[in-house]
Amino acid sequence: MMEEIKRIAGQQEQQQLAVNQSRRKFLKLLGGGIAVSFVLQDAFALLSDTDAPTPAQKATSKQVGGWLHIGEDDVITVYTGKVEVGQNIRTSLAQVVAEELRVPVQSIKMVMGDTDLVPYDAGTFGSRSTPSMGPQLRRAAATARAMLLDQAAQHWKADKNSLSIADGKIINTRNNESLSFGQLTKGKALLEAVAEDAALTPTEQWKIAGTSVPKVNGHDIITGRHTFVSDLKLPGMLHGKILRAPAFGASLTQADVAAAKAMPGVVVVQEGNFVGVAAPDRAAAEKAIAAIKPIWQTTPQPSRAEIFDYLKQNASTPRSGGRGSISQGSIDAGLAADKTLKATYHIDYIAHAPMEPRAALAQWENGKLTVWTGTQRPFGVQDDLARAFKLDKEQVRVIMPDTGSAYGGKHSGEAALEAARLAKAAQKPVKLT
Amino acid sequence: MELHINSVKRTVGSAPDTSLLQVLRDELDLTGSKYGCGEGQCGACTVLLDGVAVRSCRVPVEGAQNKQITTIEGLEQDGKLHPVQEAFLKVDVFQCGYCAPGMIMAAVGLLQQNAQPSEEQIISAMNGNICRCGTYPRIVRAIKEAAKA
Ligand code: FES
Ligand code: FES
Repeated sequence: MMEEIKRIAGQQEQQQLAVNQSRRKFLKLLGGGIAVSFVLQDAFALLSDTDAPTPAQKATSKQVGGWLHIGEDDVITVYTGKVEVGQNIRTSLAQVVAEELRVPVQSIKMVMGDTDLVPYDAGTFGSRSTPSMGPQLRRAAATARAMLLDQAAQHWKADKNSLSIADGKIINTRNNESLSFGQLTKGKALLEAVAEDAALTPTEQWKIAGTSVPKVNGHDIITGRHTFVSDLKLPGMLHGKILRAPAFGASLTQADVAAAKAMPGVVVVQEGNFVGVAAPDRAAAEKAIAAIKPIWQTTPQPSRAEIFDYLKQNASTPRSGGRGSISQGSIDAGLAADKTLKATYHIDYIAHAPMEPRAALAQWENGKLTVWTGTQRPFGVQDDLARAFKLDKEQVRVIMPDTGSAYGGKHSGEAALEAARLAKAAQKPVKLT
Repeated sequence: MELHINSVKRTVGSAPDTSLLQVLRDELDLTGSKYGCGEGQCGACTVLLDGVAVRSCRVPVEGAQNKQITTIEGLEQDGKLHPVQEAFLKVDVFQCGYCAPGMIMAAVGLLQQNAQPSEEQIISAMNGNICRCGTYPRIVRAIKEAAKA
């Protein structure tokens, strides 16, 4: 027992030491204020003085990650690895935080899906953002609220019960003085892990969360100002084009790239089945690709007319790896109804078909690779890129601007890999759209 | 080649058969108009030519000479949103928003031809614009809203 207490005390001492030592880094990184992380380990990763360039890369990979920071400038920033593809979590997660901090939704800044800035997250899929990230951020925000109230109580030497909180300010009801969150945290570097027992605002009292609020970046969307990956541009950027296979499962036997290579400003990459070009503009890239005369080996595939029968005949079973089904209730009883209808419906065999085609912009700078791409798994794509180019993960940054939908079809990062390959050969940024 | 875009004269150097969409996006940095399919199938690239909604991915840039081209960037006047934009904002139509510029331009085109369209007319005019997120009921509602304004 005594040993255990000593061990914990020792740990706490060390943690305290780490916090103190890291104060400077905290101020440098986040500019002072209050920060709440989900796990204390993450907090140390964030503050460690080792050579880790960013908090995200040191964060552990097991938990749902997220940070919340309230700056001296009153800006409330949420860092999450979840990404926005039209499901509107940029708005709904901000609502949860706004509710607990008693501020308008618009005052929350969401930093999402940037592997250099946000903690690790496995990906945005399976409709998990609201049920898993939502409650985490809610607790983080409630923890921050408690920290702010503590600060204010100390400042006024007042009882916490005499303080109220509204519109980004703490109000001392005794003397009607008030201080903004930023004023309260000025010059301080306060850091805490999410309190598991944080006092959450009961759902019946919600005024912002659980209500219908307009999309936070709605104005940018309806004015065409929102920048999707395909809208990005970098100085000296080239346009990429990939030689696509004419059929599923085709392999490239031969491709004469001499004519394309001879075109001014065109870079050609040819590695096995992969042939791509980068050129100063889209038209030149298209011309270069058209000049390549490939010979593909294809195997017969079912036609559109045959595909339904083909799938039926070749359907996988739960045993061969397909998805199972469950039966519940009684089919016979159901069919004994007074009236039964029977019909067969076929739909086209189509994939997710997101409105924004897969796109990526890749840039190499001093051995570090940055790729902007629409992906539901920024950290997964970071892994893929690190593996493909034999880089440390720290050398790869994936940034995911809010993307023109995905529907589960953007888990992978092919466009990122392709753009990075071309950019490496061209030694210039390359955009692939 | 000279183009009249959003009441401004612009000189462009792209080849005459380049698509208007490509010229807008790549050469003139007017990236509001979107590329969805490049085949005239989705409507993400919709702009107005002399007030008529067209698929800019299917218009060779030379065909847009001597016409007034209006893109999503040209709708706002003196910092004031166009009534159609106002309505789309108010109804909070979009999810991912990739279809938004094309939808709004198609709606502006429709209301210029027919200020008080019926629901059927709205649906048939907007039919060629795809929203994969499926925000259609709100799109129809926003257009009705804009027609009232
Ligand atoms: S991009 Fe022009 S209609 Fe799809
Ligand atoms: S809002 Fe996503 S395609 Fe229309």
